[in-house]
Amino acid sequence: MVFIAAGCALYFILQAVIDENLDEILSNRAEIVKLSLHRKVPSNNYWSPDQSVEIQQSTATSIPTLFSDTMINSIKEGDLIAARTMSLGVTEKGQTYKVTLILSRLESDDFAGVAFWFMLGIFALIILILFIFNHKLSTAVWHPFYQTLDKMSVFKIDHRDDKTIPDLYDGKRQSTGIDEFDQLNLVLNEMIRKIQTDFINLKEFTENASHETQTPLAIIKSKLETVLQDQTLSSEQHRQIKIAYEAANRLSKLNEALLLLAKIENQQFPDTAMIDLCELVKQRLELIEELMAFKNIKVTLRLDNPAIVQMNSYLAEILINNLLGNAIKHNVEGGQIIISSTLNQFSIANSGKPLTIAPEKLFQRFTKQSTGNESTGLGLAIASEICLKSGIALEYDYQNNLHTLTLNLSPLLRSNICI
Amino acid sequence: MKCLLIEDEEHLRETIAGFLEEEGYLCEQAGTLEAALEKIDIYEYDCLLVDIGLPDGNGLQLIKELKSNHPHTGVLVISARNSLDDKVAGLELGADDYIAKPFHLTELNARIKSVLRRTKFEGKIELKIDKFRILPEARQVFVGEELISMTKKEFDLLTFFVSNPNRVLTKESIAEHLWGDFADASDSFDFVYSQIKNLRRKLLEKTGVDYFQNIYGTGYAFHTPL
Repeated sequence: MVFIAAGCALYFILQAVIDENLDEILSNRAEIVKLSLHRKVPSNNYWSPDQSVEIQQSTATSIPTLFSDTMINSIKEGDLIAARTMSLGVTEKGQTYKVTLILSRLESDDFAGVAFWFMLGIFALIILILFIFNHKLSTAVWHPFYQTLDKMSVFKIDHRDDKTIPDLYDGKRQSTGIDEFDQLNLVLNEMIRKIQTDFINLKEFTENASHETQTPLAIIKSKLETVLQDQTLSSEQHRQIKIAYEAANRLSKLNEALLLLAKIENQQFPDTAMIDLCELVKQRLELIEELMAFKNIKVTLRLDNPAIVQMNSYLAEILINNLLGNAIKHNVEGGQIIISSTLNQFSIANSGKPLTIAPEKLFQRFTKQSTGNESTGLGLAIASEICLKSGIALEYDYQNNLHTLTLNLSPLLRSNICI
Repeated sequence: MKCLLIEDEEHLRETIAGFLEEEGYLCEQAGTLEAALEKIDIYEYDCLLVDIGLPDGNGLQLIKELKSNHPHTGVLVISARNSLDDKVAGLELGADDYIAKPFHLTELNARIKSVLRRTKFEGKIELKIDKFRILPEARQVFVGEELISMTKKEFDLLTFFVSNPNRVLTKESIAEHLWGDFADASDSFDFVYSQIKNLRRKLLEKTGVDYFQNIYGTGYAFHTPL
């Protein structure tokens, strides 16, 4: 910017200086002409390739002294060239003469031109050198920063093989040479270690909790089942045991669902693949077609587009299962299910009575439409969490007696940051 | 049939072993990986039930060893629910099937039988039950030479019952066997009821015998004359 302004200023200054210079030369010559007119030395209109003097008798009363630019024909150059002219009036013994002096400015302009371009060249060179220098300095100074950035961007929180966890210092304490970046790396390292420790702790917790709670539950269920075999039980005893057995089953399902939810939230399902939800849904429908027929539910498929998502395959199955299961559970006898897939949108709709709970609460844990005991109230919460972690937007709508859950698969929503 | 049950939790282990013995299996037990490895070295088993979460080492290691030395022993992996890694690893190492805790013993029984059919007889087996026959691989049921038409679910139901004869099968265990994760879609119990009704009727028509017993409020039992 500054250089451009300076360049323009330089140009104008040079022009001004040249003009002044030319004008002075012309003025000097004007003096000579005046003198010669005064001495009555006949001075002819004199011209040479780059200058001329023209004296004309004039009847004007006053002629102003003027400097201006014009073009004259140069024989030497074979073309029109720029020239500076001075016209003035000289009165001698009652006769007014208009004197016009012309001086070629070609050489002066050339000179100015050379000076100008030379200066410009120097400017450009300075800028270039400054730029290169700055860039090199910048790269050297910021190198550790970019190194850190690179390592951060490949960091993934779940690593089964700990050796692959990038250590910002590569195992040894290295200094970047710059205090600020050393500090940055130190803090980042600490933060990463903490995140990893927390993650591993939580993962171990969920794995252990899973194992530890399921084992006693398995025992309870089997023992109760065994007792139920006993034909010598009174009907009252049988009834009591049955209730306990059913409660154990419910607890088991609840336990499973909660643990799954914790694992999903903790990002313990990092592997992804390209999954076509349409294919998944078709597979599941095949398995439950008899159930649908029994409930007299009509299924309509409008799968115009494949619904491809990059997500964990296990979670995809759970998602589809939950959504389909929901569509069946809250349906009516003789109802319908419509599954459609258009560009970037996959939806499952089912007929059913209006919600008794607020739609905003639909995806929260333990919000149940039915007060029945069969459902855990976690199905949609799990579906919602899976969608969140997979970059899918999940929406609910109720229109024309149809509950519709729509998955928006637009790639813009997906982010690849794994922390 | 000789089984080795490898499970660290004592009560669970005894419960499963007791059940299997009732079903006619010879069931040996091991509570640690080490004990299990010793036993495998010495004896030959028809089927192995391995709990993945063993205290002194991962059960997966065992599967690898076993399958390389005793390729004809069926391996059933017991894993925790939603613990995909272990399940997948187990299957990749050569396990024949898996079952997730907590499971119904009847379900376990059905799976063991299925694994045994596959490993011992390469699936070519015919189950002869009283007046009818089941060909599991072809998924067909015959009374004499007559093929009885059945839906997929009816067939699965029949094999489940036939694998657990003379036992009360709760509607929960039946629903879970038929649909796994969908078991709690409501009305699935009613569905079970209607499927059993159909099955019962079909068998009754062709064989003249009603094999099913309705255990009120709980489930059903399939009785074969002993």
